Amino acid sequence: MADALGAFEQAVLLAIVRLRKEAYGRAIHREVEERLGRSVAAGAVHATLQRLERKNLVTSELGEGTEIRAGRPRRFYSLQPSARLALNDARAHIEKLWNGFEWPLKGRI
Amino acid sequence: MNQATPPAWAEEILRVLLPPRDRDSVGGDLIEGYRERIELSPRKAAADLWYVRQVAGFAYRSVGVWAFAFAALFVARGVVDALIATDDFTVRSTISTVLAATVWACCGATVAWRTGLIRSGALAGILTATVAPLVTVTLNALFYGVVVLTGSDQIFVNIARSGGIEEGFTLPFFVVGPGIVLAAIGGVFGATARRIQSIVRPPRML
Repeated sequence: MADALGAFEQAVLLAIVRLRKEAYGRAIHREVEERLGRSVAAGAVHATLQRLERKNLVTSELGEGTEIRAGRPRRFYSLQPSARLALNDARAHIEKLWNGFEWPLKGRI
Repeated sequence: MNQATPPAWAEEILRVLLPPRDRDSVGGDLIEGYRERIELSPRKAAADLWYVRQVAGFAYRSVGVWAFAFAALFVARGVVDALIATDDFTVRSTISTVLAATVWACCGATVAWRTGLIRSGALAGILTATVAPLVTVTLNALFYGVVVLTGSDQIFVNIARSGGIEEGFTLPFFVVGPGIVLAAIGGVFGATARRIQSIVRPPRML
């Protein structure tokens, strides 16, 4: 069983999965906001990425900058095998919790 | 492609709060977000506000815990003074002063350790000084509100003898000056320790 992931950690990791080779800070921030449907602080995404790196769930490396970034480099993130295990565990955990319920819930509970 | 730039002071605060590893990449992420906003809506003020909010988020993550630690300490001292009568405040004053000084110094030292910059300590002190008194006064107002509604006469006597209710609303603002100085001193230690560590054990820059 891998480390239990919080909902926001899952959102960040899944953003990296979706973005593949284009998973750098701003792109991950945009993707997380889009998926969660609300504005998210860049600091929250950055802090989560740092935490995931400390947990050895992601690695990062610097890439080149672009004009829109005033030439500043992009930090690209990629998943470690342990992140896939952790995401699968998180999904299995949710499935187990919802097992036996129809979704969306209807009527009186 | 627009060449708009966010407020220089906000950019500088961000640079001083970030560790060297993230200084350029995170700064670039925020400039990219800023310019995307300018592309979507040409109102520069809205993009400026977005940028400043993002920087405030980073600042809160850097020093928020210290601001709340200071507020908790200050309010705890007020609660003890109100609930436990004493004639000699020397011990309490010594303990709370030393703890408060430690909080400010640690605030500067930890931020400067992370960034490796001496000026980060002073900036951390200034940022904490803008938040901590407001948090303290708010918590004090809640406490004194409860006292007014439910407190006994003895509690009012204790509060009066320890400096009065007004002290809880003024003192937090008076201690921020020394607090900033202590954070700056902590910053010198934090940044120096980081430099020594980087000489003994050079960091891997990925």
